Amino acid sequence: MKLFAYLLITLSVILGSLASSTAYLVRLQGTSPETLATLRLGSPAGAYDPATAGSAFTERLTTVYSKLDAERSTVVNPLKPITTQRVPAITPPVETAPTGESVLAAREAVIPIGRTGDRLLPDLVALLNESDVTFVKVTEFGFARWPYSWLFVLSCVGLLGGAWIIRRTRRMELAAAVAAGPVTGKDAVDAATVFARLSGRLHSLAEELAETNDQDARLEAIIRHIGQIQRDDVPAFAADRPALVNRLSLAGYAELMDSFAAMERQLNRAWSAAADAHLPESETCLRNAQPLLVETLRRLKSHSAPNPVSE
Amino acid sequence: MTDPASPPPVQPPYREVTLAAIVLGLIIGAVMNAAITYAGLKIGFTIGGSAIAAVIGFGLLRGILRKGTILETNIVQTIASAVNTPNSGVIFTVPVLLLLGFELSVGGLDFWLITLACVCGAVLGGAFIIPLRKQMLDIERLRFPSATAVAAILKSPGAGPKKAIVLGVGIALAVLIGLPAQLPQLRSPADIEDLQTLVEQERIGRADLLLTRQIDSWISAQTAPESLVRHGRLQAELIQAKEVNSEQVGDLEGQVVDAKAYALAELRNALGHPVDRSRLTDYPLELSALAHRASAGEIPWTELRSTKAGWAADPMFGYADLQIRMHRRVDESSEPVDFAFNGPGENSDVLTPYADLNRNGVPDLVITDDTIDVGRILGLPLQIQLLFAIAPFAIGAGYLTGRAGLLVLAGGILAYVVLNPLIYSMGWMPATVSESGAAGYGFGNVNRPLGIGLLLGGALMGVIASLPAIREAFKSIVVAGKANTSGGGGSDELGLKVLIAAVAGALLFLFIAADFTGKQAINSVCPVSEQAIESDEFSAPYNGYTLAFADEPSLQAFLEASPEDQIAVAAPFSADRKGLLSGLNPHVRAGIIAVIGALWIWFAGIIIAQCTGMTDWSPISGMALLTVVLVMLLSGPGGVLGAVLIGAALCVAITCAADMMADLKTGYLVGAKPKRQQTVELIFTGIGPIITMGVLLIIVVGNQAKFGVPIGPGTDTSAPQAQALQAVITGVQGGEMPYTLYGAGSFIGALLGLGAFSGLGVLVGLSMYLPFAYIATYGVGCVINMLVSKTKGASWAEEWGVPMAAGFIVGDAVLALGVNAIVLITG
Repeated sequence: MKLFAYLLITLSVILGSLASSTAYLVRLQGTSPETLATLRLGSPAGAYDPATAGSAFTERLTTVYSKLDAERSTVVNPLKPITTQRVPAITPPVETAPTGESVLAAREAVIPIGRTGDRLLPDLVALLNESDVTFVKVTEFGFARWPYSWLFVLSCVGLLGGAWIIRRTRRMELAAAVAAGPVTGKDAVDAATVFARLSGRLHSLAEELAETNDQDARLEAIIRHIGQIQRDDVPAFAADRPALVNRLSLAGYAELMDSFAAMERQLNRAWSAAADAHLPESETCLRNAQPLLVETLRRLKSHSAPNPVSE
Repeated sequence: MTDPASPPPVQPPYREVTLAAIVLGLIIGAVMNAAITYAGLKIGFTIGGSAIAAVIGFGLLRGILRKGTILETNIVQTIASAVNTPNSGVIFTVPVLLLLGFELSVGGLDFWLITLACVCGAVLGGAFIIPLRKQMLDIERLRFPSATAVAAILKSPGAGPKKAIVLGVGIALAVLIGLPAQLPQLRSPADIEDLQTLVEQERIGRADLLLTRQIDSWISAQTAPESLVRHGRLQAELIQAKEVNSEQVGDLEGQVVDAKAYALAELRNALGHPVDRSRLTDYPLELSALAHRASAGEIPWTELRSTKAGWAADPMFGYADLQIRMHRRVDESSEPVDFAFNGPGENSDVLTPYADLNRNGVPDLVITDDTIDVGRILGLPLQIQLLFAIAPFAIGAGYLTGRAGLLVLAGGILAYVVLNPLIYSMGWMPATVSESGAAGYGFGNVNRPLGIGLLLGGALMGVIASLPAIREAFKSIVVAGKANTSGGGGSDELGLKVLIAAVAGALLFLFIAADFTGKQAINSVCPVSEQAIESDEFSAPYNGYTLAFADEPSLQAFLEASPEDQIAVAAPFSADRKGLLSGLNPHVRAGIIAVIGALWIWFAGIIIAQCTGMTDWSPISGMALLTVVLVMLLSGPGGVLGAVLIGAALCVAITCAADMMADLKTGYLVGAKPKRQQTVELIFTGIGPIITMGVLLIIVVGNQAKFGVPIGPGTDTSAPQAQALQAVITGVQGGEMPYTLYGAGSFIGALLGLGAFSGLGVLVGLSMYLPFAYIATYGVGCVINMLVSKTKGASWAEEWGVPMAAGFIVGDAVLALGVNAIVLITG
C-alpha cells in the first residue's frame, strides 16, 4: 500500500511538473485570432529552413517582420531636444573569409519563424499553422488558455490521495507495532528501551568514577561512556521519532525532546571538557545532566498509553 | 553520578569565550571575507568559512598557543563565519546597482546607506532565527552536514588518534581529488611554442593564438601599431576626464569607440589569412592601455606578456588534460570545413553532433576539469543529462545526510532524466532548442522557477506542520526565561526578548529604508534631455515614483507634456508602470513594505536554514531573486534602488540566519552554551558587511581606473550572480517573470509536505533548483553511506564515516580558499 502511495506521489509530481511547464503555452488551433493578437511570444516559435522554404513563405515572413518591427520602433523620447548625431569615423576595410565553424553553423542553423517578443499577428499565426506548429510560448498567463490545467488538477488530487494513504498506512503500522510490544536487547530501536540503555551507561559511568581518583582514568571513562552514548544511543533514540510522535503527539514529542536535547548537550559538553582534560567542567556537566535525565524519563513515561490515532 | 567525596583538582575555568578566540575569529573572518568577496565577484559563488576557520583556529590555538579548548575553537569558527557569511548576501545584490548605472563612492550617500542596511540585515537575521533553535536542532534534529563536519574537526583531538588519522586521510583525499579540478583556475602566460598544442587541446581559442603571436612580435620589435597606442592614450584621457567630470567625456567616449574600431581593423589586417581575420574579433582594453604606456616608456615592453592584455593563458594541470574524449564519429553527409585547430586553409571532416556538441571539429571531452559526462559515456540520448561534478565536498555532504539525501537525488533525476526529456519530446520546447540544449532550456525555464516554488510551498507546509513543535519550543524558552529572571537555574538561550527587539528593529529599519528610498529619485539620467543628473533640485512625483530632471526646462517640458508623451519618456525607467502599493500614501506604503519585509526575513531564513540543515545546499541566489522581485512588485518596477537596498538587507539577513543555525548545530554537538555563541555572533556579524562593502569599493575604484567601468563584463570581476539578478530585474520591468510556475511549484511543494514528511517539498524543490551535476555527486555520497551502513552497521558508518566525510568537506573548502587566495594575490 505504501509503495503504491509513493508511486502515486512520484507520478503526480511528474505529471504536475509537466502540466506546469505548459502554463505559458497557447494552442494555436482553437484559440481566437483576437485573443492571440494580444499575446507576445515568450520564446522563439516554429522553425524553417531558408534553403527549402519557398520564396512565397519567406516573402510573407518578411512582410510580417516589417510590420512587427515597425510596431516596436516607436519614438522613445518625444520630448528630447533635437541634437546632431555623432558620425562614426571610417575604419579600414577588412577582407575576411568565413571560418569552418561559421559555415557549419549556417548549414545547421535552425531559424525560428516567430521571434521572442513578437506579437501573434494573424499573418504570423497563419505561417506557424502552415509549419505544423501546435503550441507557442507566450509571456502572459491565462488559466482558460492553459492547455493542461486539467492534468495539473489531476496531479494535485494524486498528491492528496498519496499523502492520505501514507498517513493512514503509517498510523496502522504504528498501532501494530504498539500492539506487538517493545523489542528489547542490543538491537532495540524503540525509544524507551534505548533510553533505558542510555541510563544504564550513565549509571556504569558513575560507578566507574566512584571507584577511582586517578584523573586520567576518570577522563578516559567519561570519553568512553559518553562516546558510546553519542554513537549508539542518541541516534537510535532520535530515529524512533515516528513512534514517539504517534504516541505523544507532536507537542508531546517536542516537550520530550526539549529535555532530552538539554541533557544531550550537557553530555556533549562533558565529553568535550574531558577531551580537553578539564575534569571539573566535565563533572559539573554530568551533574547538570542528571535532573534532565530524570525529567526526560518522566516525560517519556507520562505518555505511556498508546495513542495510535493522534498526530 | 559522580562521587561527591572526591573534590575536583583546582583548575582554571574552562576556556570558551576568550580574548584570543575573539581576536583570532575576527582576523580569520575578515581575511576570508575579503578573499571570498573577490572570488565570488569573479566566479559567481561563495564558500562557507566555518570549516576553514575551525581548522585554522584549531591549529593556532592548540598547535601554537597550546591552550585552546574544543569550545574555544568553536567560538573562533562562530565569529569567523559570522564575519565572513554576510558577503554572499551583499555580492549577490549590491553589484547589480553598478551594472544598472548607479555610482558607488565613499563620499556618496548610497554607499553608506547600503552598508548600514546590510549591517542591520546581518544582526536582524541572526536575531530572528534564534528562537527557532530549539525547534530546528532539539526537536527536528536537522543534520547540517557541514556543521557536523566542523564538529568532527573540533572533537578530533579527544576522539583518539585513529579518528584523527581518518579525518586527515579524508582531507588528503579531498585535496588529491579536488586539486586537478581547482588548479586550472591558476593560469600563467603560455609559451609561444605551445600555442598550437593548446588550441588542439581546446585550452585556448585560435583568436588567443593569433593575438599572442602579434603581441610577441611587438615585444620583440619594441613597438606596437600606432592605432592601438592611440586607443590606449584616448582611453587614459577618458578615465581622467571622468574623474574630474569634464565636459569632454561625451566627446572622448565617441573617440575611444572609433579608435578601438580602427585599431582592431589594423590588427585583423595584419593577419595573413582572411579566415584568421574572421576569428580575431576583439582585444582587451588592457592591451591598448599597456601598449600606450610601453610606447611612452613608462613600462618595459615585456609587460605586454600578460594574460589580462590578451596573451594566451595556459591553465595548470586539470582533469581536462587527460584528454579523455568521445569516440570520433564523422558525419558522412557533411562536407569538410576549415576548423580552428587546423589553422586556415585546411579542411577537416565534420563530426556528428553527438560526438562534437560545440561543433569545433574535435570530439568533446567526457571528463572536463570539474565534471564527468556519464550520460554520454553510456550513450544516453542528449536530452538526458547525467553529469557528475568532481566535488569532494558534495560526496562528504551526501554521506553526512545519508538516506534522506536520496530524496534530493530522486528530485534531480526526476527533473533532468524524466521531466526535461519528456517536455522536449512532447514538443513543448521551442523548435530552436536542440537535443543537447534541452537540459539547459529546461533548467532555466522550467526546473528553476518550479524549484523555487516548491521550496516556498514546501517550507510553508513545514512551518504549518511544525507549529505545535514551534509553540512548545517558544513555551520552553519563555519558561526558561522566567526561571532566569526569578533566579532559578538560568536560561541557556537569548530568549524571546531578542526576537521582540529584532522584530521592532527590523520594522523600524525597513520602514525608514522604504520611506527614504521611496522619496529618492529613481533615475540618474534625465528622461527628457538624456543627460546625467547633477543634483536633485528638479524633480516631480509620477505614478508613485520621484522622477529627477537635469534642469528647469526639462522639468517644465515634462510637466507640460501630454500623458502619452509622459508615458513615453517615463517608460525607459519603468516609471510608466505602477507597483501594487503605488496608490497609497508614501508612509503607509513604507509601513506595509516593512511588515512584509520582516515576515519575509523570518520565512526565507527558515527556508535557507532548513535547506542547509537537511542537505547542506543553500538556495541563497534564488531567495535573493525572490526578495528583490517581492519589493519591486510592492513598490513598483521603477524603484530599483529601493528594491536592491532593501533586498540586500534582507538577503544578508537570510544568509546570517542560516549561518547562525549552522553554528549553533556545531555548538550543540560539542556542548557549547547557545547563549554565548548567539551573543558573540550578534555582536560581530555586523563587521562582515562593512568589510565586503569596503572590498567592493576597492574593486570598483580599481576597475574604473583600469577598464573605465565599475564591474561586470569587460573587467576581472564579472559578478555573474549580479548579472543574473539584473536579468531578473529587467524581467520584472518587462513583465516577463514566470509567476505561474512559482505558484504551481508552491502548490505541489505544499501538497508534497502532507505525505511522508513535511520537508519533502523543500528537498525536491532544492534538487530541481540546483544544477544536476552537484546533485548527482551528492547522491553518490548518500549511496555510499547506505552501503557502508548495510555492510558494516550504522554505528561503524557513524564512527568512521563521519570523520572521513568531514575530511572531504574540510579538505575541499581549504583547497578552494587556497586557490582563491593565490588568484587574489597573483591577480
